[in-house]
Amino acid sequence: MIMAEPIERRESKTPAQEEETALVARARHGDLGAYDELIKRFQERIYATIYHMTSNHEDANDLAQESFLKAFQALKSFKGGSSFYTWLYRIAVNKTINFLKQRKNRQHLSLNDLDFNTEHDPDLVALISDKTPRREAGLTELQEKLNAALLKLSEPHRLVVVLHDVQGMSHEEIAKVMDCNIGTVRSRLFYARQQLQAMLADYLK
Amino acid sequence: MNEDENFESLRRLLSLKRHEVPPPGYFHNFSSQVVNRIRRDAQESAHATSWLTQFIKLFETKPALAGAFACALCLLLVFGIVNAERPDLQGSAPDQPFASTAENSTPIATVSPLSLPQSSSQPMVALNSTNPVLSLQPTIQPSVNALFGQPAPMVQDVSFTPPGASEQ
Repeated sequence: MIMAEPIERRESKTPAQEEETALVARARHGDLGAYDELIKRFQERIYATIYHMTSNHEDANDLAQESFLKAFQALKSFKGGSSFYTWLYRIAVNKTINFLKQRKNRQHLSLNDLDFNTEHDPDLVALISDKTPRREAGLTELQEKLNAALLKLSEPHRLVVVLHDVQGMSHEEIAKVMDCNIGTVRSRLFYARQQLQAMLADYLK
Repeated sequence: MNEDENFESLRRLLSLKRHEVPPPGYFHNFSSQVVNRIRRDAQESAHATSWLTQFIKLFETKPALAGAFACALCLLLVFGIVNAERPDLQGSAPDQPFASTAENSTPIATVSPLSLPQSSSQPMVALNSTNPVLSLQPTIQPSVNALFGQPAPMVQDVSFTPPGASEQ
């Protein structure tokens, strides 16, 4: 599948971006050392996106590896019109959505553990304070309920929530990844949040 | 923005997702696993290419071998066609005027004149039979004496001859 690249404004590149461009050029010529460096730069973000979409660590591991494999095979079609990061993201997202569509009714959770900073996160502390009706609900239960609710969303709606509210991407960046306009991103985000609010009402008051 | 305020609690809950992390040390070997898979795939595709290339080169260096291989394939094809048509050839009667039409119509089976007495003026008749090989259409009403005057043998020669043709 040829990945169409969105056209971005040409701006002066930072040293990091120039270094990334050089690594991509070397990788296109078969330099696996350069590609190894690129993988290390993006592996956490790519894995995180796929994991948040699937809520399954094993599937995320497989899909992340396959995304990088496919990206390497398709490097010759990458013309540099967009950032390598955006192009790679689109490969990972498309691969994940295709996987989820095939496995539509057979999703099961395989959640990662929460890190030790979770209980000190001020957002979460406020959420499970004494004012919360379900304050006895532990973080683990919250995690399960949240992931189950996300899996009930359609893939495009889940994706905008993951990219924006979890990973902090802007509407413009999300529009490039999803190959749609910003208005579509906003409307999907609004609808997805409404759905999640309804499903998680007991934990949000 | 009002929209963000409305979803503030949801946003706080969604921040929980950022604390989900893979097992410790997961990313230490991730890139090397991907690179090893790339190398393995490249070796497998190169091996497949070399096998195919060698097979093709064999015919380039020895044209006689290519010719022999082609002849063998043609012979096999002809042999298959001949064998497939053999049962049809055994059932046809090329000298009979109805042979061409008999191919598309129900074959007419007759009883050999050696087994049943028939007058010379009576042409061959077709028997009514439930056997799917035999025809269901009698062209000439058989004589009762011809059919029942003598018991039919257990084994009868059957030949496909059109009605009206005399075998005498």
